[in-house]
Amino acid sequence: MNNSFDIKRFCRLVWHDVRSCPKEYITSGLSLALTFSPLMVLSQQLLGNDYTHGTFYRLVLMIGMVTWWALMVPSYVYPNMGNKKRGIYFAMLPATKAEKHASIATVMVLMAVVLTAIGLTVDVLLTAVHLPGYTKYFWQSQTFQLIDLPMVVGSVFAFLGPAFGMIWANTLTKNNLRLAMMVLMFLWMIGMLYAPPLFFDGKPQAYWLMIAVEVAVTLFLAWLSRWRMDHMTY
Amino acid sequence: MIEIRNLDFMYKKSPVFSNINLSFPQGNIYGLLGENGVGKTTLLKLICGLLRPSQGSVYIDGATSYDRHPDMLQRIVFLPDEVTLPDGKTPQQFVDELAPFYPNYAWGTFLHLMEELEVDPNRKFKEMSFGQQKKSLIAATLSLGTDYVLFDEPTNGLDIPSKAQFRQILSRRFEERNTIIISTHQVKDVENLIDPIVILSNSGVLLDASVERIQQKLFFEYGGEKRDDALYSEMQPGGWMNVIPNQSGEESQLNIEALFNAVLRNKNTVRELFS
Repeated sequence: MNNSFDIKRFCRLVWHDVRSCPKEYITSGLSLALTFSPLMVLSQQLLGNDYTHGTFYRLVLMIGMVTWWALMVPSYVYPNMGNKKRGIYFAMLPATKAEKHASIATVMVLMAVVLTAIGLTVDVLLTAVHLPGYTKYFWQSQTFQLIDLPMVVGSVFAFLGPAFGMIWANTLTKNNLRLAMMVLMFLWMIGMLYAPPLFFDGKPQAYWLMIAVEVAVTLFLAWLSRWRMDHMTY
Repeated sequence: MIEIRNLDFMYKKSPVFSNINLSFPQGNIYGLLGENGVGKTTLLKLICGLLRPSQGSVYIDGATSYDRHPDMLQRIVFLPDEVTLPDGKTPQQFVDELAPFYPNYAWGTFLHLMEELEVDPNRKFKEMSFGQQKKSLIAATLSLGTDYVLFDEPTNGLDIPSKAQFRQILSRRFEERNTIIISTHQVKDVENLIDPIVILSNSGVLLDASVERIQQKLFFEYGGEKRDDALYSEMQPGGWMNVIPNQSGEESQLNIEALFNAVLRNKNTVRELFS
């Protein structure tokens, strides 16, 4: 019984993972924020007023950056998972492999939610002070009103896919592979976040196909990362 | 009990173990000896489930170690020779993160051991010397309260007083429920601590015997002439030391380094003697 998924132990593990690297969260978060915030504001200056769905794209861009940040932080937290020397404590921690896998994914999701909330708050503040390009609050976007449940579900999978992809990449010790995976996942996520509005003009089949692809890719990456964790040796 | 049955292991295509059978019943501090590259660390990792056997199995109290189930993991701890530590953390923080997963962890024990080893538990790892880091890890390892403790070269980096402290701590904290396996080249550091002794070679297990049995089978003669029938001889101050088959039944003072050399140079003879 103790060897099956135990919710108490899982919560303990999530807490362990979160508290084990506060420094990484803060330093990597700050460095990414400092890098990307000017880019986000600048892009809004360039695109915001002239673009049909400017406010919506601003939101998508911000979420894209923030979720990317959320994905990157755990890759600082778990960089040694696949390292033969450094990964031993992770491998020997008394929890099931399923709990460890789920814990990493949970930390990524938690971080994404927290960071997105912070990003939205900043977005509202920028709009409140009438920063050029920030003419509407994000919820006032016309496109924002068109978001439906399937798109939300698809977006969740679009985010979880890269999360599992990064778990898989973190189990690999070769930096080049990890880097390639990071770039690939970034492109995937941005593509998936930007794609839904493109189908608003009436291509229902493509819309559903895109959501199906998101779900399928995410399930595949979830399986791949779990399989890799199950078979890792040190 | 740790049981190794028909174990084969290879790294890619180079074989390390072939059909190894060993058991480590509880209540002993085992010394795992062998030349460089024979697979001592590999064997410890196989026992912990960090590596997967090519054939055969390693069982810990009946559970396959490679499955790395929590039940097993909370009863075993492995201190590798080389560990990369969280530099920005203190030993206290490091242990606090691990402790909730080990039901027998004793907070007081950790602090007591750190005090005994004269290391500040609230000083960051990056501000410590290698020896202090090692002592912190030894204290952390022993405070987790696991039944099985595996050390890989635990005395590497320790100064002379710390080696003595390590021996004392291990002797004092050892309980009948414990199985401790120490893999080391520094046999002098653990000479009066380890019993039984397991010697590995490229061809497998050369020796797996208690100190008492070794003394029954081999005689360690000190201060005499060099003997032609000796399994191993070594010039020492005051005369030669010879390791010879014990035909008189008399007990002698074990010298592990000499034993090791005698076993390596006379594999077949030793196997016959101990079979």
